Amino acid sequence: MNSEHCLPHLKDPAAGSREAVALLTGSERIFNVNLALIELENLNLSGKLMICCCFSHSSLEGVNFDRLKAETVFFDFCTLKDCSFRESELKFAVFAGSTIESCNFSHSNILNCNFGGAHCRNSEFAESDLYATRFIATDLERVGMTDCNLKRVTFSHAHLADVNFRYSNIEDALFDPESGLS
Amino acid sequence: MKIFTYYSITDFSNTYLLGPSDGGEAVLIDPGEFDLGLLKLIEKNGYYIRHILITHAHNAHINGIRTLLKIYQADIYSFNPTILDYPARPVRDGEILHLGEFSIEVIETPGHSNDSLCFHMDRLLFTGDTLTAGKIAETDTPALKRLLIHSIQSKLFTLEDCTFIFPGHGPPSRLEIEKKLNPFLRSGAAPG
Repeated sequence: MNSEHCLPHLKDPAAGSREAVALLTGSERIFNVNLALIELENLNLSGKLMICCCFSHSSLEGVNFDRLKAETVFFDFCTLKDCSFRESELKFAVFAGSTIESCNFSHSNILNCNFGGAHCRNSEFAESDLYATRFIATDLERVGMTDCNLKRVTFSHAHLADVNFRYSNIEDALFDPESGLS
Repeated sequence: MKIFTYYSITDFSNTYLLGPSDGGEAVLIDPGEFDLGLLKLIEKNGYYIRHILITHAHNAHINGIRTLLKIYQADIYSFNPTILDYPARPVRDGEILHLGEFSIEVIETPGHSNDSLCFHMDRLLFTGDTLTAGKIAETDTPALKRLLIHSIQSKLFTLEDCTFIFPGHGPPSRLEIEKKLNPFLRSGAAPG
């Protein structure tokens, strides 16, 4: 996030993009980078550590983020298609406003994350800890949330269609649109 | 510059640690709790807490101050002249605080409380309870809710869309997200 320019504003965006892919694939630990508006396809980024990174408005298709450890990483207003975040540790990550299609977040710890206003379809969160994550005004359609921890998870103003909460502690989630801060 | 978020599981609030990349004098925002985990975070990164910023004087944002001040000699900056009986330097709207290598602008955002402040630095905005991901703060009356929404729209929404929001509770956000998607603030939303 410290980078001064996102990719399209560089003198040579294509070279910048190649450099960004090299950074992502070649480093295990990725800190403070601004990769907004990047397009990534069929990339294996499993097992990475990312802190304070920005992928806002990016297009990510077929990207493998399995076992990702991420803190304060922004995936807002992205298109995420066929991406996998299985067995990941996500803290303070942001997916707000994104279109999330056929993605897999199962067996993960997704703590204090922001999915506000996202459109999430045909995706899986099974057996994940979603503690304090916000799905405010989120569209969830054909989404699996079986056996999840929903403690302090907020679904206010959300539209839920065919969301499977089986074995999850739905009584601990917040659905009241007026639920606010104390 | 480095920024760390520390989550308090007792008050469900966020404390932010801001410091230079290579250690030194650091800023702590809203120490709602001060425990071993936060102490380790500070010490591991070679920081000494010299400045404490308070977004508002509710317990979830200040309770750690007593312990903190037993360990570090730090100045407190808040709207109020005292915090938990400790003297604080009162700050006001538009003031720029020069704290070590950081220049931080004070933005008054009344509504949730009379003393509510946000702190703005480059593309980072620390909002306390005023504005959090998909929500706005609780208010006691409809008039205060209108005041809060006016504060947000006139003082925060005029900042750059790419500004990152670090709230006192819950996950981070960006101004673009809240402008477009916050159900309490979207254009056409009833001000209450």
